[in-house]
Amino acid sequence: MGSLAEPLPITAPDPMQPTPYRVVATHPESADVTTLSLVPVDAALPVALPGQFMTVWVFGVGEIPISVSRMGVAGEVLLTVRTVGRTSAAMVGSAVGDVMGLRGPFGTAWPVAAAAGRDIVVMAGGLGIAPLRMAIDALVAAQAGQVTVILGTREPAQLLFGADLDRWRAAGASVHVTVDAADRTWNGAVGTATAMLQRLGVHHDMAFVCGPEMMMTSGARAVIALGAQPHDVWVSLERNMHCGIGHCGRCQLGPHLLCRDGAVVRWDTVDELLEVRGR
Amino acid sequence: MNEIRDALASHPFFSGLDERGLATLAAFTFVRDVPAGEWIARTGAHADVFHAVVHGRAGIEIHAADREPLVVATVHTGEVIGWSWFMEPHRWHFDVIALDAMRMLDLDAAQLRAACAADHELGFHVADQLTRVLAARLEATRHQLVDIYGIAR
Repeated sequence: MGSLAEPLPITAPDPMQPTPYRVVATHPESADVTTLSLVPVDAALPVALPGQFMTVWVFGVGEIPISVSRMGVAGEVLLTVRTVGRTSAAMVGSAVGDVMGLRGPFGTAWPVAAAAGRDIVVMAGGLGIAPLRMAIDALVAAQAGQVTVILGTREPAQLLFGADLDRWRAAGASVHVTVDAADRTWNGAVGTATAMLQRLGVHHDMAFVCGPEMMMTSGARAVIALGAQPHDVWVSLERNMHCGIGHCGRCQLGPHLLCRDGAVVRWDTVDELLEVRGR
Repeated sequence: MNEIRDALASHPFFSGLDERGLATLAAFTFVRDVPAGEWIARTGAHADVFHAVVHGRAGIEIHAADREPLVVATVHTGEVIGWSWFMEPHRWHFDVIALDAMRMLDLDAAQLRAACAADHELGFHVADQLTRVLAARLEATRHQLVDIYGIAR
């Protein structure tokens, strides 16, 4: 399947062997979302590229895949996690000093270099902003082409990374936030990310979209309706990723193993697959 | 009258209308400035005006007795408020409040419906544009209904 993003080589010495990392800080982002800052106990894993993920083993609880929210210095990894099940709850409830096992980084990356000099819209829904953080950082740093960021979330209290939004605006990006519902104190838009894109009504050469599949489908189609080519629209698909190296098959979407061939994929390679119920 | 005709022509909802259509609408269109906090429509009230937003922001609200009013959509510059005026029983389904100071083009709904019935080209344009508004609102409502940012179950 050469139509997907080129799978990146697995750079960890043994991709199935967890590497111990220690929690050095916790940053509550909202009522049920926390960013953990982890540093290697000994050797660090390779640096994750924007859009890649790692698996996190909470000892005695379980292992789950988490997109890398940001890379710090000296091997520091920032992971933003929402309480969904037992393992994610254990991560959100972790304390400074706790040790977890990380594997990775795995998967494909947002094609940031291909966006050079092009107008790009980055659409994020809910926690989908986390895997896009490093990509947006790189795009605004490159200052090539207009960068538009559209962030949709359920309600104002669940808005993530407010300081990042301000920083991206200051760097010249056009940043728009919309929520599904709000009271009158909310001084912004209420509606879908797609509606915000349609309100802007401008053509973008390229798009990165990450969020719930329904949101990505709607957003990708709207970007294309405004003139983008389907092969210039990229989405991040998640399934039940487990091994991270394309062996176990739990993340299969049609012919693709998303832990290896994704999570970042070109829209025109998956749009029809997403129409199939049960995939 | 030319000022109103020009305002209609530059509003996205009416763009593409020919001179005859614009002149017809201009005859029963009025410019209205609305301060922030003023009600534009109330649930159950007679929907006798079609509002096209020139600038500003309005909130479409649901109100229930046991909870605070909830803004479920905002309407912005270049968009329109409501479709209740178009179909019977011509009663507003939601409350609409100006969240910012607004300028609107107010079209008399009864005259607009009559104009659409008399001039099917104008009527198709209005129905086509309203359908696009309804389709977008339906999709937004569907996303809210399934709570797409919630935890999958």
